[in-house]
Amino acid sequence: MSTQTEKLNSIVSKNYEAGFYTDVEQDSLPPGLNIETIKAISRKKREPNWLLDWRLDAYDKFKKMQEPQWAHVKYDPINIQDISYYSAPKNDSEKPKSLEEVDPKIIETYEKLGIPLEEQKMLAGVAVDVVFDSVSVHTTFKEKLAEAGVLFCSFSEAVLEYPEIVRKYLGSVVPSRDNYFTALNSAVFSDGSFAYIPENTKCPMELSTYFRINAMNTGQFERTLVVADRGSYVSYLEGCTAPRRDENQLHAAVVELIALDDAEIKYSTVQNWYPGDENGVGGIYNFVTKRGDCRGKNSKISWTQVETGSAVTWKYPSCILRGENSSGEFYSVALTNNKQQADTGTKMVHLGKGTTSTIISKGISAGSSQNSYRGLVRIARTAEGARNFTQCDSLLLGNRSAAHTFPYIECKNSSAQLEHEASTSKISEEQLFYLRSRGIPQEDAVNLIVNGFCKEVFKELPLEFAVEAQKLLGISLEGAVG
Amino acid sequence: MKQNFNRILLQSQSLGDSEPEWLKCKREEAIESINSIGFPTTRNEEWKYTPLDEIYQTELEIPVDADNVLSTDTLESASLVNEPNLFKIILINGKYSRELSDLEVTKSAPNVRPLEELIENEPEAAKFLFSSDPRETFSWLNTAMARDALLITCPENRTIQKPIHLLNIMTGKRNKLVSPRIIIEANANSKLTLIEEFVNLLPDKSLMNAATFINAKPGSLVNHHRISGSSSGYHVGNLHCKVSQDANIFTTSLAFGGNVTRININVRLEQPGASCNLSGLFLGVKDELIDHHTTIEHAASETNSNEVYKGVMGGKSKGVFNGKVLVEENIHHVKASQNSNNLLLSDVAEINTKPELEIYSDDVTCAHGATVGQLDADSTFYLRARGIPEKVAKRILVEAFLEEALSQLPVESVKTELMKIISKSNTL
Repeated sequence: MSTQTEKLNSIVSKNYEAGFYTDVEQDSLPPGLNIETIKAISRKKREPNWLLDWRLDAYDKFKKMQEPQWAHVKYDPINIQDISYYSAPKNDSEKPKSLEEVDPKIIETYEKLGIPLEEQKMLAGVAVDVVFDSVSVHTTFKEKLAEAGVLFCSFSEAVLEYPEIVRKYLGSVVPSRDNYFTALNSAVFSDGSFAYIPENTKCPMELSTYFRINAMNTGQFERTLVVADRGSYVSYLEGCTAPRRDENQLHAAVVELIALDDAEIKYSTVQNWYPGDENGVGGIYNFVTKRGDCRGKNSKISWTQVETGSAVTWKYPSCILRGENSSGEFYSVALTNNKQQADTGTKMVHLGKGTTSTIISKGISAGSSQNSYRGLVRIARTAEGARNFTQCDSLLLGNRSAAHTFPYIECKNSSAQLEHEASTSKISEEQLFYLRSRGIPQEDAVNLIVNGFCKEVFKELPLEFAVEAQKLLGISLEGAVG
Repeated sequence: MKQNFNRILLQSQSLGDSEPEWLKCKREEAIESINSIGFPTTRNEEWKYTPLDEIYQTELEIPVDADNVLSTDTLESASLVNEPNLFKIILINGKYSRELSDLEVTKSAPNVRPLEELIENEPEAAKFLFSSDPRETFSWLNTAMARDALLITCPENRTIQKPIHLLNIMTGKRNKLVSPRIIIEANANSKLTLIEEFVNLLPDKSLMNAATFINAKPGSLVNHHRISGSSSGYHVGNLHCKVSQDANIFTTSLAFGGNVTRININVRLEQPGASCNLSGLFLGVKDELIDHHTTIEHAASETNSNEVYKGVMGGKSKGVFNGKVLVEENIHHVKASQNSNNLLLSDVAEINTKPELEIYSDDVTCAHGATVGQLDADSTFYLRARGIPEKVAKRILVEAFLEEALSQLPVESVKTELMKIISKSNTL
């Protein structure tokens, strides 16, 4: 055999190894983004052709787009070709065998949050025994939901089992061309969550990704779709208070909510991705597009978020208030410490008559962090009698921290009424002195004041979340004062 | 699209033949800067709501001396200000007119010197007129195009009792680009009040691109009122203020009429104890677009700022307000408050407001608020129940709404004129 043929053979076999044309199960695709990557993802998930076409169309748009630069954040450019776009959940052999193998710092945080041992194992990604408690929890809640007719499963499952619902609503709130990161997500999303609440149904329990074990490793390009049919109600919890072990740098998720006539969706998030260390090394870039569409009359969408993690956050959960008398709410606490940067806020787009919206945003910036509120309230000409109230307050801890407010107000209807108020200040010396003189240590005193500052938002969170969120705030603030 | 603008830039170079070398240099630099970033469009965040395409497409001329004639009658009817007891400074097409101006040669009068005079007698002071170089396209355009510039100084420890009325008139034939440039030096512990008025007598599209620089030295007090209220034309106004130790600056902007009005106000509180008060009022009754962009930079400790802007939009008008308060790093005891209140009186009118805070120090107390709404139904009902016709009732309420911003104004005649505009309008 000549050397040339040998070379040729090796090239051919190499190509084969890369696995684009093979059915052999592989854990991950090599880094890089091209049409083949997208086809491979689609094939791995056994997706129908319409979805593949949709992905390719999004990729087409993505290629023509540029990364947005307007946010008040600085970070090293992301090389999209360095990212591996698909990695299946790790199998048990690679997972840590016991809690001893997990980073002690993470365990410490779990203990402070008061998370039970078995749950700690689950969160830390420790391989768990099949008879583990939460599996039974998992099945009981599945039964309960099925009884009510609520569909709640992973996105990939939904694509195969309820294609007509997915196809109808996918991309109808956040079109793939919306922005650079949504286009990227639409092209390469790996998995996510799907929920459908049938007509006149009150979801019997709070839906939480926390319980859904197979969603624990949904990967960096998540996609969530929640549809609340007429007269239904659902409360959806995303994320969990415990820090997640994660090595992915870029998270570009998309969340779409649809509320039809008289439906209500309450969406709560506690985001606590790895924020990087004290010097700003490492950490997650959290570039998320979340949008809810109040399509029906009297529908309501409420966003509540507690953001404490991520090195860079770029996130604006929004409401399109299309239906008459629909209403949108946004409650947010965003805390940044050390070198973290957050540019977050909301958009309330009033289109229908009598639509109302409320925005309460609390930003806390400590260390040398940058915390921005960026919001838009748009009243279209058609939105007769629309009403908005916005309040955004910032609290500064430490003289190297920065807080910014960029509220856009656009009003085209004279019967609309809008109010916006904002304040920025540091923790009052008098309040601190009052607490200190009563024997409360400095750090606890600051915690107390910060919690009071955030109370309006915490009271919107589901109870167990609220308790954990308060503790989480304390942990995130550690070392910020002193 | 902007070829007309580029042509006018070329024109300007040939006009400046007799100028000293340093000035030519300055103008060339400004043109280079403009070329490097270009003229703003609505794709530019700062100009998002304010399209200038129409003016970019218009053929504009630079005024020549023959244009700068004006009868006293026209002059008197042009201004909204007709109080007798004022110092009068008149600029026609940006050029200082000594004949029309009325300045007593007493000790209490301000010192007023135009560019030509300075180039001849005090070349260093002349250079000073072009020393400020804000990084902004229309300020550069002014640097490149201003045929004249006026230096108004108030000597140390002096109080100028009478307000100074600075009247900028744009006149002549055909569409013009006029670039008045005023530099006001308030020396230590001096006090002065200034009413800067801009009038466009040209019927068509013309552009008034004004630049005003105020330098408030330690302990001085400057009252500045800016009035732009022409029936048509484009107006771009740049006001740059520097405030030193314990100095105070009050500046009011009154804007109504015109096709497109864009006013950039930039106040930098440079030393401890400096403070500023900004107020503004914009009024739309037809299809005007009135855009105010203000920036207050707190660059030193112990600085205060206060800002109130009010907009009343009727007809098909569009109002824009963007107020930014910036607190720089490592400074203490800063207080800033900002308010933007707007009345929307017609279903086709529009308000876009954005009160921004950018804060890099923790020892601050900053607050801002914004409201958009209509006239309060209860208040209207209260007046109607007392036999006041609806139209009058509405006018009373609009007047009351504007009072806060108007109360600062030292001349009654302007208020009266403004109220006339309000009462004449159908949509208010």
